[in-house]
Amino acid sequence: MLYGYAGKILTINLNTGKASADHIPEDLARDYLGGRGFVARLLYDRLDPGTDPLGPENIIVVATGPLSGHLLPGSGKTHFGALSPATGGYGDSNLGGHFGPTLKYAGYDCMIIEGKADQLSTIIIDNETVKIVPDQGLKGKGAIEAEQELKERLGEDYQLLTIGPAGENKVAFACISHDFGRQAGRTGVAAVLGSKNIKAVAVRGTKKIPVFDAKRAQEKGEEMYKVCFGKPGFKTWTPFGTASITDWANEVGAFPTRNFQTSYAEFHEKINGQAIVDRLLVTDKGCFGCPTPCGKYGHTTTALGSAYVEGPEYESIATLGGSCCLEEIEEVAYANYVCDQLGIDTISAGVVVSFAMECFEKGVISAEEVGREISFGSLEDTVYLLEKIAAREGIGDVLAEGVKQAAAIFGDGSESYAIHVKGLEWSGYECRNAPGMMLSYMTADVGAHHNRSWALGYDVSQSDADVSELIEAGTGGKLEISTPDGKVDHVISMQHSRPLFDALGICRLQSMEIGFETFHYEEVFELITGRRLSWQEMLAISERIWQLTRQFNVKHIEGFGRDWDYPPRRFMEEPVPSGPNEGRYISKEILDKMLDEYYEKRGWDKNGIPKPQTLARFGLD
Amino acid sequence: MINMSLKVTVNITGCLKELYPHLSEREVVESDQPLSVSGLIGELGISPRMVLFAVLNERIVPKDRQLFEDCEINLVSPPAGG
Repeated sequence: MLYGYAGKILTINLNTGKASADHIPEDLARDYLGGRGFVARLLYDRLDPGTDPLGPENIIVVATGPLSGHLLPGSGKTHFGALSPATGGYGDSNLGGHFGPTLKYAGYDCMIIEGKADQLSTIIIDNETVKIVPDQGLKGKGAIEAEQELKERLGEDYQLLTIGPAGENKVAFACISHDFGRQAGRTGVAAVLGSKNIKAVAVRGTKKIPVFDAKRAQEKGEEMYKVCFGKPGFKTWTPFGTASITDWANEVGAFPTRNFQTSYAEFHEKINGQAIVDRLLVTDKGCFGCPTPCGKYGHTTTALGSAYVEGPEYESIATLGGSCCLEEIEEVAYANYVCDQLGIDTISAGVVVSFAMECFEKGVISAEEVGREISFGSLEDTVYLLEKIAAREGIGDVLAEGVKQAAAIFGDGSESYAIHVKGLEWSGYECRNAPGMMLSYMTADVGAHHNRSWALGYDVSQSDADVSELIEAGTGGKLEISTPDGKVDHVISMQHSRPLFDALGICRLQSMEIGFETFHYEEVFELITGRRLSWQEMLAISERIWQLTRQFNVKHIEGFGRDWDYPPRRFMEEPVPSGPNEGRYISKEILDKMLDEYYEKRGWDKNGIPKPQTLARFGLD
Repeated sequence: MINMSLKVTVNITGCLKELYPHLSEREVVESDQPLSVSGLIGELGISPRMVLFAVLNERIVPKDRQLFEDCEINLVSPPAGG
């Protein structure tokens, strides 16, 4: 028996309308833990090269981890994955809330959705009973609106995943929504759900999960809450959540502003965590089992309307506020709400909209092509573009493919400020003075996402040099770094530790922000699963998953290699024009030195391809 | 002349633990000179830019705030996004 796991994989075939449940292979649990590990392995095994991300042969994997759904802090995480329509490579994203624990209580650690329904439908799972119900009544409805309607129809004890119009229309950065404001936002998994004609997934579960030593696991879980409550960071984390970083990101010159033209916004104090507390906040909101609720549920009123909204999180502030230059927190929150209803990832949305604004400003696209004049700082223009994107109308049909594809169509040099890696839009940290964070974005398996490695703190803690000294020294502001300074090692270390939480099925924030020690996870993992693993041994599993996702990209992206790891030219050639990092940039020559070291330490060749002996070392040959 | 010494308890949070592994989660700092929050951060060898804010008696205080005997202060690091 696999203790800690529900024990089954649920496969739903939309072509046949049939569902089947199979036992979790023990070697899958042993070698990949769960969550992100299950997603990566199952996608790798089941998808052939040449698969169309939006074709019926693509699959969606939804997976919990061995710690999901148990009585311990932050055990509400669920992982989603598919061949990404945004990148054509490995795609995954995760969310908190309550879906994953409920899926486990229904008896499933993992759910695979394959094929395509012949009309828009909702999947309803009630323990062993699985139905695929045609439901045209939900067509075109907002993601949150659809969730509300299904809650009223099915009952409060169902947990729901929904997509908005953007998912139905297969926008490359459509997101899966849950719990009225939680999203699996990145890599366009919701577009894959839309391509399969699935508007929503509902689950109810009433079963038990077998636990190796239930009594001691419960005692340990209770102890973990007490430890968490006693941590010095506990009281300071919850009041502002992730938005507390807004001022700091500006002070260190890492805040994306005007489509990442610069890295400091003079208006940042109007869109920071304090502004949320003073002007929006109704209540804090947490996920399943969370002692440190970082969600901020608030109400916003703007000239375009008013709405209740969860957030904005820092990333939404950075991209919708900083990059699109929305200067009031009410406007950022309203744009966030529009994204949530349309079912669009706020990170990619902010980057795509601000890219269009810069293209318009530079004359790359005209008012006739856009349908109107647009400018940075306009909420009305931002919402106009978001709605066009979700509906795939006019210019929105081009922007719906993301900045990489849009720049390829617009041309005229716009690819140098299409801010992405591998086709995934860059999240909320400008990196022309942060080589470790730059490398983190460049080498993240899904594209330019921050949650694999947040090395910005390491960069900032080590960098006190004055840019004027660099210019006087003849570097022209070009950031000089030496390769043995530990940055590559630090990035690699973080790329194992942070995604490990996604494989275990728990939130990393209690550990990363509150200071929760990892030995607690070792102890509770053993009590729940009966398996003794040190944190180091778990990190080794995380490294195996990292090698597998790289190999996944080699398998699925034609010509994949080093060229896919570079940032946009803006970051390598344009000095930051203002703010604390004025004059700085990181040249391609320096990035190449970092990549060389990174590839060597990963066991990859000069082109970034895992060597056969590396794959063999991780059992991937 | 009276030789005054100052003893301060410092709680290190978030990524500061990761960035400065030589520091324990709870440090006791003694000084024979008056000490501000900034001075304390310097004594610990932490980059001042990595302290998002300092919390003294459950209130956020400016970094030029002078510390007092037997006080307990939390140094809070920037969170890593959302």
